[in-house]
Amino acid sequence: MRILLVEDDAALASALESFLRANDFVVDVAGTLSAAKLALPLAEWGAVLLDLHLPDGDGLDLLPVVRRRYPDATVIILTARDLISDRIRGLDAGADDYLVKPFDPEELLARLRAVERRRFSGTSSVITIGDLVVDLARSIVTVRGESVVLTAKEWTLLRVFAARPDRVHSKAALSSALYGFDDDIGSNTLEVFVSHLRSKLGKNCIQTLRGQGYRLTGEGD
Amino acid sequence: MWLLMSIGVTYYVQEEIEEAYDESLRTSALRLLELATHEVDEMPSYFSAIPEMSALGDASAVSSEHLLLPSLTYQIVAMSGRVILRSKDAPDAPMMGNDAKNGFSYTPTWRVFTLRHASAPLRIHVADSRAHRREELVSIWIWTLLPLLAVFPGIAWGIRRVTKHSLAPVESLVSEIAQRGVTNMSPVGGKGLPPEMQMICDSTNHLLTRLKGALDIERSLAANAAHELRTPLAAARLRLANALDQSLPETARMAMDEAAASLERLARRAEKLLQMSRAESSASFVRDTVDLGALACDVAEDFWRDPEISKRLEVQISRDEPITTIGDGDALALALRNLIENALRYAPGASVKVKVMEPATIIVRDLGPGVDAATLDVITTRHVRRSNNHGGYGLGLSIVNTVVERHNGKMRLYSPAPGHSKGFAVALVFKSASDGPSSSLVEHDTEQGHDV
Repeated sequence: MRILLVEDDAALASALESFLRANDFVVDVAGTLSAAKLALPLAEWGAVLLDLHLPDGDGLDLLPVVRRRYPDATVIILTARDLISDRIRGLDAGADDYLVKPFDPEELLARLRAVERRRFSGTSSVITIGDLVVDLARSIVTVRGESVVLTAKEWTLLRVFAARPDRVHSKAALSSALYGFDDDIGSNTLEVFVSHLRSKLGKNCIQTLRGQGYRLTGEGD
Repeated sequence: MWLLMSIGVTYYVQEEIEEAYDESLRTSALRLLELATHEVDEMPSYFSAIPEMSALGDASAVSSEHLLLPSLTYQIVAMSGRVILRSKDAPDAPMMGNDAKNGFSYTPTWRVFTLRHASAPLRIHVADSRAHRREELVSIWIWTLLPLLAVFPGIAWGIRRVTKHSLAPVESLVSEIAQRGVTNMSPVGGKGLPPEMQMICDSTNHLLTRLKGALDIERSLAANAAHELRTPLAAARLRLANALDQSLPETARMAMDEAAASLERLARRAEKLLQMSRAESSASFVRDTVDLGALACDVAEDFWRDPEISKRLEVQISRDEPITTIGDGDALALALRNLIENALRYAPGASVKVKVMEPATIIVRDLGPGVDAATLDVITTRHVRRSNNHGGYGLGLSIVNTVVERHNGKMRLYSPAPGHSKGFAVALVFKSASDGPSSSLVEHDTEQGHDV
């Protein structure tokens, strides 16, 4: 997998480059925002590792450019900014992940391997969350080894949850994933589907965070 | 002052009254004596018989018809000392002895003017009751003091108003300066201030500007230090990881492992120091409405990336409507992050729950071994690490406490966790965004027994 590393600190860039190369990734380094913009069209990038504090601007400005050109590329922000507001801003801007320096190299490696697996096993992979094993490619979900049959809408919902089990999914986001713009949505329709999923997968498998949304915990009963 | 003046006025008026009364006594005496002389001339036989007269009452009755002057008290006394004529309210006996001289004199009850007849063996005593004069004086006293009593509250109110009005700019300046602090460094307004106050105002603003500059430097130092330290630390960790991937002799590998562990400790310690400096760095705090439920989710999401932690860490929010406080979201997240880190570290494998509830309360509870009462005391007072064998740096709770104090909140520690036989819980109670200074602390105390 080809990785574009956008990092202005030469020492870190070279250390990261050799670390990733040692782990069989193809890495190109851009030291500035403009260099990154020039490099983007040159290859098919599987992942972009993005520093935010760049000499010629904010790394977040690169996100829309990457998204437009490579909708499937994974963008991981690597930054020294550890404030929660920075992280939220980064994720809201469309980054897939946010790692604060000095990050654990193994953690970065795990993220990149997951990205790689998703890319090479089609658009999805098998995700294990607690007692659940979700095979997104084959649309199979098992709870403690037992297969469960889901309806199309339930699958749509579970896909959203399973794609980011670490996140709290807002009701608005889940509703928009479930329905097109023309659908007439009842106010409690989402709750109905969530309760269907709970009855099939285990009542604690989806946790309600009041006022915030839902999270997939994958716990059984 | 008023009292002194009124005493002075009264004294002066008394003198004047005395003079006026005396004058009228003298005039009356002269007239009366003339009249009496006239009567004597008219009825010489009657008066010549005076020494023989015994029935004074008759004489008085006769004379009163002629010489009745109702407001006057007088006696006409013969040389022998007998009262020939007197007004009704005059005493029977002569007011003064035979040796009385012309002019004014006092008796215990009367002010007397004595006048001897130039030719006849008569003298006249015209008198005023001293009590009467005193009454006059007292009534003057009362009438000068009474308005004072009536006016006094009015004057007091007026003085207050005037003082208040003239001190208003000073008061507003004082309250403006009082509002200035780490979160507010804007210049104090100097509108409508007297020149001398304007000078104080200017100096204060000058001081504020310099303070703000110093705080800005401090803030950017903390922020820069974060960047300056984190990037080389990340590079060093990557280099070590790289080296560890190589095939190394066993001794070299052990040394590299040691180095990696040291580097990780260094990174964590640097992280805590940066967090501490940020918690203490005054200038960087903002005051926004913070949804504590959303904050808890945002902080937890960072932990949930780890599947093992995802199973252990749970967030629970007590209601659908936002539970809010006023404060710095980043600083509050920093505090919460430290509490969760502590709980995960000191309660290995145990479940950790973050509970957001009204009013503006966050509770982080683990069901680990907890601490004994003595340690809890020590932690509460000094925020030391919970036990010595888990690699904490004793800064986590201090950071939390600093952030909480900066938000005028309260931190409470419990072990075992309320409603459980083991574990450790930290409750952060902030002021609700919706109401002012809340009664939340009291309410919270009554909830101690509840399951957290």
